[in-house]
Amino acid sequence: MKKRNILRTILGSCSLTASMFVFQACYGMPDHEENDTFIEGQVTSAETSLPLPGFIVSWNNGCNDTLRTDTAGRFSMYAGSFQTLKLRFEYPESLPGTKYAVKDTVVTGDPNQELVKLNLNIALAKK
Amino acid sequence: MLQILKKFIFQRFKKSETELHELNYLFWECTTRCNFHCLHCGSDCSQDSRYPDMPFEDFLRALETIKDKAHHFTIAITGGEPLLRKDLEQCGREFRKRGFGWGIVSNGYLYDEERHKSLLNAGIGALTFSLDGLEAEHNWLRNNPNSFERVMKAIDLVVASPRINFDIVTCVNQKNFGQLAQIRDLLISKKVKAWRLFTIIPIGRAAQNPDLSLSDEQLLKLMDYIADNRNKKEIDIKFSCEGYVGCYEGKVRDWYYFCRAGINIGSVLIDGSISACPNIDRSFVQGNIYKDNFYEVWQNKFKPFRDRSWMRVGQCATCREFSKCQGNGFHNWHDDKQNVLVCHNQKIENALRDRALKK
Repeated sequence: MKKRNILRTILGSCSLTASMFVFQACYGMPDHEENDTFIEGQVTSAETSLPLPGFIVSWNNGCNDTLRTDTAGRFSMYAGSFQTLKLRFEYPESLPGTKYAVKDTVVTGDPNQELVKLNLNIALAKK
Repeated sequence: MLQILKKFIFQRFKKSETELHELNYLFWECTTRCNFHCLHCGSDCSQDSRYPDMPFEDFLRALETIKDKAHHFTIAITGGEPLLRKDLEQCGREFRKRGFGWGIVSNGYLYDEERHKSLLNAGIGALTFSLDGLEAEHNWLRNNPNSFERVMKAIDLVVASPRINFDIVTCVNQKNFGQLAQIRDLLISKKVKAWRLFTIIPIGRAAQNPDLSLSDEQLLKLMDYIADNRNKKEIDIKFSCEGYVGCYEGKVRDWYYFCRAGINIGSVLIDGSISACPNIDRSFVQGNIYKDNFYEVWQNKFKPFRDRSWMRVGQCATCREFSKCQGNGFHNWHDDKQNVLVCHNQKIENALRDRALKK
């Protein structure tokens, strides 16, 4: 098997193109081949340490993306590859009750790695 | 000289890939429900599917039998219309946790901003939408008066997200054949980067509709059109890997023809059947996830896919191109399998001969 893999790499390289390895089935979609970053974490209150559900997490890595924290204040997403990425955590105006200050956090990724995993714990202070 | 060397190397590469038989592209026919009733549907899908959607846990169990997973492994979620399933995001996250990339093939009708964001967050990496003409022609083939408008909106959402490996596929037929330049311009104006063109082979509902097949001359013109536009480099246009195209090999795709069905491509179909591409005749099914170990089937069966010498029948029996073509796309073998359903190379040669005679 190892010998065959070596032969495969040599022949692929000799073809002067990487496209021999990149293919799509005729009725399928292109390969999933991009590097990526998986970010997960929890948003809590700085004062009470209680989870904050329904809060907005937003970022821009080529386009505007958002999500809401779940009932346990948790969030997770694949955000693509980047060197650094600014994430914003904010209180949705539509939510009743205590107001919280917006918080921005910059995270560091690695565009050369196939998959980077980051874990964030965000504590939001009351306004 | 370089072309001859490249062809030789490619032939050796193909042989080595066939022997290696590494699974790295897996279709999951997760539903056969569909919100459309397309005229050309090869799977004969409809709104009232006779099969229930496959429970995700069942597919996951099959996936988890895979030992020594290929480095780049993509799961292609297909149907029916996969967006009819509400649990795609959950499925996608589980795939990514296990190191599988994934994407969907969709008609785009249900792809709105909310779904776009949730799929992105769930780690979708690849996406294909179908666009089969300008408004009237697309709606005709898709059998839905709003399908064009909806897919246009879906395209706008996806092109704004550069991390999705995205392309448009067009089934070229009698009605849209004269519109290819306009469709290309439309896609370029929408900032679509990749466009894949198919022809329709007469299987499923397409077998009943003569408007869907191209004449020999039209196929030849299509090859010329693709080759010319590849030189212009305004959009990454290519012919699908549906068939061997003889003298156009090397001109209409990034690589030479290689049908990887059952060599690198497998599938789990709606009833649990294990096969290669979903449009392949179901008599080629190699096992069933509800009875067999999926990966053992992949490793130990699939012989008709890896050794295609049985295809040397009918018009392929004496064909000089067989070593390069190997029976054309596997989906061209149906019923008694005594002849290939469509030979692209023969159609092209017929058209070239007719052109020469007219001169």
